[in-house]
Amino acid sequence: MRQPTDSTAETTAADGGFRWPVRQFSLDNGLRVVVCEDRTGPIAGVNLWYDVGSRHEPAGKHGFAHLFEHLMFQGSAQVGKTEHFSVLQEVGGSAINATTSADRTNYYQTVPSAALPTALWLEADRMGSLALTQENLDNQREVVKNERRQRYDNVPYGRWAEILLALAYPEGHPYHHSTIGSMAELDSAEQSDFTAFYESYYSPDNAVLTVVGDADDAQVRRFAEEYFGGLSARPRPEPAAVAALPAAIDGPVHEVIEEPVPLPRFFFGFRATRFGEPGAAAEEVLAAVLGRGRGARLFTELVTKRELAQAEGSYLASWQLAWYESLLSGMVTPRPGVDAAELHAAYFEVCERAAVDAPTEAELDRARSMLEADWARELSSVGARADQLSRHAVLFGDAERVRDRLPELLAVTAEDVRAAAERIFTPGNRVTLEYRPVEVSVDSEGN
Amino acid sequence: MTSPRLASRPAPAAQRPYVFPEVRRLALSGGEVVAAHLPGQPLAWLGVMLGGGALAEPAPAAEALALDGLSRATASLLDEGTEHYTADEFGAAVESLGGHWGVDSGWQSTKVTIDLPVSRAAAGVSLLAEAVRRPAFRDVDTRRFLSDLTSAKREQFARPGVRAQQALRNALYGERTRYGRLAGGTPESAAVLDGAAVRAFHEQWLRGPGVLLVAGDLDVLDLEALAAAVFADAATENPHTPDAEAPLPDPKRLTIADRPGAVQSTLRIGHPAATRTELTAAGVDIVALRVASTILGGSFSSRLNKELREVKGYTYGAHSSFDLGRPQGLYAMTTEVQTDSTAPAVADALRIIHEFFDDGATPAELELTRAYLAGATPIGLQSPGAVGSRLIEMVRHGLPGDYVTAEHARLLEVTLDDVDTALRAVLRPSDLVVAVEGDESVFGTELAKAVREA
Repeated sequence: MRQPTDSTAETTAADGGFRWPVRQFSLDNGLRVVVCEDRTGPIAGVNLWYDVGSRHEPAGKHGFAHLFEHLMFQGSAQVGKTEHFSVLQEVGGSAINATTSADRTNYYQTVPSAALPTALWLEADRMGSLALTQENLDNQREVVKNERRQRYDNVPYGRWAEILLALAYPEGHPYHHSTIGSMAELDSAEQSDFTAFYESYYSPDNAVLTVVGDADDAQVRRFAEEYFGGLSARPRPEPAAVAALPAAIDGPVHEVIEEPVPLPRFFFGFRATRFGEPGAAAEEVLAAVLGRGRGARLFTELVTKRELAQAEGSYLASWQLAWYESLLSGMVTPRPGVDAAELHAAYFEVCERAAVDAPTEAELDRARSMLEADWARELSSVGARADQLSRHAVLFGDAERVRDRLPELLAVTAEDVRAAAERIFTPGNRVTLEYRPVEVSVDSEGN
Repeated sequence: MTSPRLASRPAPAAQRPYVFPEVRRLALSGGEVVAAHLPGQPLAWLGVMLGGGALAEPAPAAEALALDGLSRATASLLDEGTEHYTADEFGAAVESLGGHWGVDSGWQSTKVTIDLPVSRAAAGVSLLAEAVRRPAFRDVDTRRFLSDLTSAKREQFARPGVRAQQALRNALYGERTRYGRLAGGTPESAAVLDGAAVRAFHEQWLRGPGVLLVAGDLDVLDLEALAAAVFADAATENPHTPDAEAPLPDPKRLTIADRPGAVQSTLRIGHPAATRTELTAAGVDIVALRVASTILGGSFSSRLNKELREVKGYTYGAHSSFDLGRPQGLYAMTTEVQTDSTAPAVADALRIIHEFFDDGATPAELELTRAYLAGATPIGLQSPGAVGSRLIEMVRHGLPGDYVTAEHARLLEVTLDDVDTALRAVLRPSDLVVAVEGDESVFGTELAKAVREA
């Protein structure tokens, strides 16, 4: 068979695939600021990472970090309720949103560069003076409950990740609970919970502000001083001590869920290396070699060759959790008439064989090309580039570490991948969640 | 907590002007090329726009099941094995270039795209040409793919949304017409597709030269070579896909897809509309209509989202928009609401739409939306793929290469009168059909009343 010719395989320059300048400084109140000038378009991406996520939630208050994120859009001293978006839109801003994960909460928007002061003012106003009212709490609690219904409760398999986390991490571990939280605990949320949360974590010295695009560091420094300079750092509670987990899950764990899903399906969880630790990059490449795309081993073996599994885009993925032991997750669906147990065994057979058969040069090249192009796509918008800079500044204390990201992935060798498979795919280090379809029960209590 | 010193709100400043990338239209190697120049852009987007589409699917013989979804299935099978590659080899070849393969099959056209590093564009376009001109449709691949498609459809239909969409189309156009059903088909229609139907559809509809679309650094890309690769082996004609049947003259106002036990209801509320080309010919200001549509349901601050999410808390989000694509347009409002709020949410949505039609936009809404849309243009066009989607619009509607720039400039001049006039020329609140997928036993009676009284 003919392979496409590729005369320009050498596409990663000495800059590690990140070709822009990065400037960093801190304000007296501890706010760290990252600036990445890029004059390609008349726009600027503004991103804030707060170093707080659902991992900080105490027992009984799961889902509060995410509900708090919603409250951040409900107004502050100089911004009325429901005005947050309109203030940005009035100056041409879009791509406005925020997300909460176990590890962190990020807030972002992209604006015409002429409106950069407005975006920074708005972020500073809510960092310094959020309107934590009962009305806002009541309304956003309902919105979040509908988000939970839409994403988790009203879709087949919607709760898989939540169940997997609970099985893969012990009770009391910061990653044991899902970020969305439970309906009952959200119902119990009181205003005072959020005042305390705000004062503890939404302090300038617990955040990184990144501006990418049509602005230079002198401008951004001036604006940052003007809008954030009057905010004071606030004390935070010491993070609870979390004991390191063993290298492997104490398994294998196999949980069967009987629900009215359309098809049987397996989800898997494997304990993995923290993002940024030695070995984590090899596990990302392993996930790509085995589990991602049409040329992945799990696809060619289980779908094309043995016709056991349904075609999917991804069979194995790296979660890149950064504070404690991370997770690889997998999924696979039997084709009609295929014995689920046979597929289950075949999936692990392919995985375990990777501990013996290191990837070939062609397999490694495919994975590297995908990861390299992903990185170029990721960095092509100012908003996503700002998010990566904030991420590296928060996790490693230095935004410049963003330049190491792609080289670390590309430096992974075939032997590194094999060793990662040997580490991950031990018989005990696995959680299996097996969905078995049952008939729809006509019971519409609808909670 | 010491009280912070807050800065006052900065004065607004004018946005810098925006100009869409230079567009080149060329006739090369017997085909048409439309290319946007993105100097210095390390990624490139390449696409071939062909004919076909769901309206080209064959009418079923009497009593036989229709082959709904055949067009989309055929497009998706183009890269599942070709003359020179097995299915696995082809997929691995795309991925080894860092490429993202895309297939989009609508009502009257088929788009196949690859997005990849610009340095690999020549190899990428060879793969595009290989898939489009030399697909193999081997039995082993079509059988596997179509079996997976049937399962994927079963799963899709078990998720909320698609059955609401199906109910709306059935109600607006009638389920006996192709346009009154879903372009992608159903689990049942997927189950009757086979390799012979796929091969016949490809032979009849997808062998024309089509149009090559390119968004990337044209100082690096060799358009002549790309065109030569894509247009070799093409048939000489681009076949013409038939238009859709007219909407039903008097559709029922409420249709429900029952989903017992659902904790949310999916709402689709809409009516047919004219196409962009027809509206332009009739003198409707497309830019003013876009402003109106954004105020009603096109952004977070829209009337629908503000009321249903931020005031009532019924939903995680509510949207509405005008699709002015060919062969017919559609106004549609979409949201998911908690089950026990179904009837009040529908009543609110209909009331908001009626009120907006009757009273028009406010000066504050106009000002906000003009600025928002003007800012959104450059922000939304950062990637080659986003630029490529504008090229598709150009080809679909016969628009000039500078239409994005012209519309961007026009935005700043649109007046309240323009907005209200455009909206009233297209929106017809009393023709709205309400389609709901959800647990009818909970809301049925109350919902019927809400729709009757709207």
